[in-house]
Amino acid sequence: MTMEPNKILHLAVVGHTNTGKTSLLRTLTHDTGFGEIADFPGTTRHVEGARLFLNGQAAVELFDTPGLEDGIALLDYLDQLKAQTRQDSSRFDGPESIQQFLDTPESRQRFEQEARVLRKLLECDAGLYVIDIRDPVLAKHRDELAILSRCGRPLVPILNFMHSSPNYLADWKESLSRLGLHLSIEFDTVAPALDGEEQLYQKLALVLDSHAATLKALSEDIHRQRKLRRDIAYNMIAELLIDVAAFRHTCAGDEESIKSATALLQDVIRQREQESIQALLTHYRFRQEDYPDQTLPIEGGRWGMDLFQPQALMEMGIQVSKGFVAGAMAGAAVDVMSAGLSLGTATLIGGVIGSVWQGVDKFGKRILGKLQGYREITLDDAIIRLLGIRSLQLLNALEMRGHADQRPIMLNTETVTGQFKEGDLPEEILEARTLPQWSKMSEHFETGARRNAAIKSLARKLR
Amino acid sequence: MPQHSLKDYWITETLRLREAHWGPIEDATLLHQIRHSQEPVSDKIIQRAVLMAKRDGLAATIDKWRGNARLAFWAMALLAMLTGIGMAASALGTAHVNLLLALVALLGLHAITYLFWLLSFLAPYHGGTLLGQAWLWLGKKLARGPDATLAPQAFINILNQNNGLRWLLSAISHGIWVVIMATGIITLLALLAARQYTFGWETTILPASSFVSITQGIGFLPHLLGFSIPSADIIQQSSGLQTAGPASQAIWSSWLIGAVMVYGLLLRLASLLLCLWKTRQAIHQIQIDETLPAYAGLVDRLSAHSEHIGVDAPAPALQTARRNTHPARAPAGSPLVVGLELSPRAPWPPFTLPATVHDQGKLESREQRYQLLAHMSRQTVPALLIVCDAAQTPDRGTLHFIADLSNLAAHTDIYLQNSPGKAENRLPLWKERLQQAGFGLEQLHETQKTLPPWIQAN
Repeated sequence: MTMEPNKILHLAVVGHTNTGKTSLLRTLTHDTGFGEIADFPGTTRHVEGARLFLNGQAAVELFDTPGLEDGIALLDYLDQLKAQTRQDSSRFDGPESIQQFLDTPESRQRFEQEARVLRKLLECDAGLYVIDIRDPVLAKHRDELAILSRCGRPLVPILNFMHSSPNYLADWKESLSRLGLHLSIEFDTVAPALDGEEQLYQKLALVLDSHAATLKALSEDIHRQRKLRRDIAYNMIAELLIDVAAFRHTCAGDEESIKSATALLQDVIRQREQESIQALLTHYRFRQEDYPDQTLPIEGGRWGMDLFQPQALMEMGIQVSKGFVAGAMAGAAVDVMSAGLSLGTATLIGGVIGSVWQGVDKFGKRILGKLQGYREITLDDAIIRLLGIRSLQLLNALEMRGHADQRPIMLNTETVTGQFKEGDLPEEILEARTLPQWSKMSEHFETGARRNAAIKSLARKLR
Repeated sequence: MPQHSLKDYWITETLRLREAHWGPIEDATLLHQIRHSQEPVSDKIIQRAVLMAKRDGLAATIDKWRGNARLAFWAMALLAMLTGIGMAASALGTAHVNLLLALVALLGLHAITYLFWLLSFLAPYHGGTLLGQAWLWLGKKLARGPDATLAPQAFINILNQNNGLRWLLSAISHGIWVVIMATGIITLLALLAARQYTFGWETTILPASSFVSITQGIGFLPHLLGFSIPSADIIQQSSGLQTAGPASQAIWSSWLIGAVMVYGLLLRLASLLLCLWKTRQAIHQIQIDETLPAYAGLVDRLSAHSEHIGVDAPAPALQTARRNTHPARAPAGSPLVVGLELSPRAPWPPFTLPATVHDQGKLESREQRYQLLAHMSRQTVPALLIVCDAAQTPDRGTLHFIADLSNLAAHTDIYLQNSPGKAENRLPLWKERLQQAGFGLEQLHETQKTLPPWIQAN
C-alpha cells in the first residue's frame, strides 16, 4: 500500500441546521467534548475542524460547519447574481458563481453562516451532507442541495437517526437519486452500528477514488483499534473480578468486629466497582464531565441499586446461596479455619504452592492468625456474579453508544445469561480466592505474571 | 520494527509495577515525542518507559540491581568453589579410598539435584531450582529502596512470560554446579598428584562380578574420551583389603576423574548450554501485552485518534428575523390560511375551514412562495393563519419567510401543529424564536380551540 505523505483528505460536514453535524464529528473523533450539541437551530455558527490520525499521521481533516438555514433565499440571491452577470455567462460555472457570491457584502450579512459553509466546502475534497431522516424532504432541502452541488465537490449523503421511526428514509433516497446522489451512507450518530465507522470509510472510499487507499487503511485501523479496545475492556473486567475475589480482610472473631469488618469490605468493593466503571468510561472515551447533571452517566433502578442489596441480585436472576446474609453482613463470607485450603482442587493447591515462594511469610502470618482465632472476611460468590454481569452489560452499552449520545446509559437486564448467572464460577476466580496478594486493594498487592495470565484467561471466558 | 533489549522490557515492566502500586507518573512532555510516530502501540509503551526511566533515574536502579545480582552470583560461585574443594577433599579423605563411596561423595548430591531438575519438567512450573531461587533472594536482599524491590519482581515477571525464568534459574543452578565440579576435579588432580592413594572396593553381600560390570559400565563413556578403564583383573585385585600395584592405582584415578568429568562436569556443562540457549530464546520472544488492563489508559493516550484543529472565526451572534409591527396599507379581500413546510404525509386542511376563508394549501416550492407573496403584495390580507409543524426545527429561513408574510397581513396567527406520534416536540423552541421575531404569545396557538373566531367553522 502506498500512501503519499501530506495528502490529507479534507471533508466538510454540511447539511441543514439541527441534523446532527456536530454529533457526526463527535462520533467520528470519539470525542464527547467536540463542539456543542443542542436541539436548536444554529448551535454551531462557525467552522470547527478535527484531524483524524492513521498510525500517528494525520489522514483526514473533518470540518464541522454551521447549518444551512436560509437555502431558499440564498438560491434566489444566487439566481439574482447570475442574472446580473449574464453578459459573460458562457464561462460561468457553479464554483465561479459561488465564488462570486462569497465576494458580495450579503455573504457577511444575512447569509454569513451559509457563506462560511460554502467557503469551506470549496476548500475541501468532498462534502458529507448530513440528513435527519425524521424530517420530510422539503423544498428548502432541495434548494440547499442545489447550492451545495454548485461548489463542484462530490457530496455524500449521511442518513442520520436511522433507528427512529416514523421516518422519511424512502422519500430521501428517492429525492437524492433524482439529484444524482445514488450512494448514501446510513450512519446513526447517536447509536452507530458496531462496525458503522468502518463501513462509513469503506463507502467513502467508493466515492472518493483518489483517497481510496487512505480511507481503506483508516477503516482497517479503526477495526483493529475497536478490537483492541474490546480486548482491553474484557481484561479490565476480569481484573475487577480477580481483585474482588482475592480480597480478604482479617478481623477478630467476635461478632462486633466481624460486623465492622464487613462494612469495611463493602466499602472497599463498592469503591472498586466505581473505579472500574470510571475506567471503562474513560477507556471508551466517555467523560464524567460530559454528563454534568448526573453523578455517573449510568442510571436506572438496577444501577442505582447498591451492590449489597439482595434485591439487586434477584433482579439479575442470580441464585443466592443459603448462607447469604442480608442486612449489615450482606455479601460477606466468613472464613473460619480454612485459609483457603478447603477449596482444595489440584489447581488451587498449585496456586498456593505458587504463592509460597513469594509469600511464605505472609502465608505463615495468615495461618498464625487462624490459630489465634481471627476470621477472614471475603466477598460472597453472589456479589462476584453481580459485579460480573453489571460490568459486562456496561461494556455492551458502551460499545453500542455514539459519542454524541446525550442520554444516560441504560442497561438491559433481559439479555443476562451465561456463566455469571448460573453455573460454576470460573476457576481463575477460585484461584484468586486463595491468593489475597492478587487483590489491588490488599496491602500486600503483587502483580505478577501468574496474575496477568489468570486475568487474560478469565477475560477469554467472559467473551 | 526496532528490536528491544531485555533491559527495555525490564524497564517497562518495572514502570508498570510502579504505576500499578503508586499510581500514574507524569508523562505529558514525553508523550509529545512519541504520540505521532508510526510504530505499533507496544513499541510506544516501551519507548515511553525507556524515556521515563532515563528521566527519573530508574535505569540506574536497574543497573544497580544487575550489579547486585552479579555480585550474588559471584558470592555463590565462591561458595561453590569451597564446596568443590571440600567435596574432593572429603572423597579422598583417607589414604585407602573406597571407590564407590568416593564416587557417591563426589556425584551423589549432584545426581539427586539433577534428577529433581529433570522431574520438575513433569510438574507445572511454579518456582524454580533451589539454587536459582537462592540467587534471586540474595539479589533482592542486597537491594535497598522501593524501586529496588520492584526491579527483581519485574525481572521475574518478564522472564516468566515464556517460561524464561525456569531456564534462567536452571542455568544459574547448572552454572554453580559447573563451578563445583570444576574445582572438585582440580582438587582431585592436585590431591592425586601430591599424595599416595590406594583404591579399592568393599562389599559384604554383593558378588565380585557385579563390581566388574558396574566399574566397566561407569567407565564406558569416559573411556571414549580417553580415560582408562581398569581391566577385570585389576578390579578383582582391588577388592577388600588387597591392593594392586602402583600402575593399577593410576588407572583407578583416571577412571575416577573420568567419571566425575563426564557425569558431573560435562553433564552440567551441556545442561548449562541448553538452558542458556533456551533463556536466550525466551528473551527473544518477550513481548509487551498491550491488552493488559494496566496499559488501558496508555494505549489510548499513545495512539492519537483525533485532535482539534480550531475554528475559522468567532461565531456571529444568533440572527433573528424581525417583522414590522404595522402594515402600511388598509386590508382588503378574504382571510387566508396557508400551510408552511408541512410533511407531505400531513393531512390538508388540518381541520374544516369555513367557506369565507381563502385556502392557499400547503406551500411547497419556491414558485408557490413567489405566487403567494405576489398575491399578498397586491392587497394586504385582513387575517392570515400560518400552519407549521412543531416537530421540525424553526430555522432562520422559515422565520424570515413567516416574518415576510406577516408584514403583508393585518393580523397574523400561527398554528403550531403538534403531531402526536412524534418523539420530537420543538414547541417551546418555536415559541421562543417566534417571540424573538416579534410575535406575541396570543398569536401562537397549540390547539384549535384558541384560534381566532374567523377560522372556526361553525
